Amino acid sequence: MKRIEAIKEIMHSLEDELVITSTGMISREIYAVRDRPENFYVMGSMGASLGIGIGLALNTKKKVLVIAGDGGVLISLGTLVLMNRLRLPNLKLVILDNNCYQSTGGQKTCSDAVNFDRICNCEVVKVEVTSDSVPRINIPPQEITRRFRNAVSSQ
Amino acid sequence: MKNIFGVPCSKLKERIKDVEVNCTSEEEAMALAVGTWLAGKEATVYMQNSGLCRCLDIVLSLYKPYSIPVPKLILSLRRHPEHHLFVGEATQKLLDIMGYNNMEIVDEED
Repeated sequence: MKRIEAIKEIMHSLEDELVITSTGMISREIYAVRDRPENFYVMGSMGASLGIGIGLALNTKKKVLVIAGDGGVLISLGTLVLMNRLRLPNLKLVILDNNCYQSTGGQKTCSDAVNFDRICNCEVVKVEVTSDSVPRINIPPQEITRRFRNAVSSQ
Repeated sequence: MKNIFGVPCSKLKERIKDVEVNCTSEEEAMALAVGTWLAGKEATVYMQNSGLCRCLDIVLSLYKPYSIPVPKLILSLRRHPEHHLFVGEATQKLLDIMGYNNMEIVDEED
């Protein structure tokens, strides 16, 4: 399955879930498929997405979905263990695993040496290495923050 | 859950004795604090000064560009023995680089 097809399937099934995306092409593809104020695009700080999702899920009753790539998960693998410790009922993690750092030229990751779903309750979707041309996220980071925070506090 | 996240230090053990779950790294604690703030709540993070080195990226690549205020920091300041010396000397510089001013420093001398 192409990654953007997996993203379309996820994003078109959402209602008011809060979505935290991960650094790299995943954020751009999510932006291209369905931009919404409930999306928080983590463009820098690789590996932070799941931790942000945990902090959010601890403090809201809304459903929180983290969509991460294998590279971003591997760089902070310990956070999967924290997720498994906390077992937050309103937090879901989907890992789109293409076994490479695609944004930087397709160098292989070590994701084929681990079963993420043995560490925590997450959904791993194996995706092809693809290079669909999608635009850069054309929203300033401060605006992503502002509109997301408003979306969290709205009914 | 009182939104207190961090990695322990022996010098902080009295200060954080109510914390139930420790994070697996200092930058993870800083990431949880981002999520907390996005939900409209305040977080406190705690760590030893060596952990500040791990926080540089998330503060400079996430907090700053996204205009997210840094959480209150409870920081133990270690300078001894030798393996703490270099980070001890660099601690104020690290805080300055991150523009950190919202903190309580627990000095090992106290």
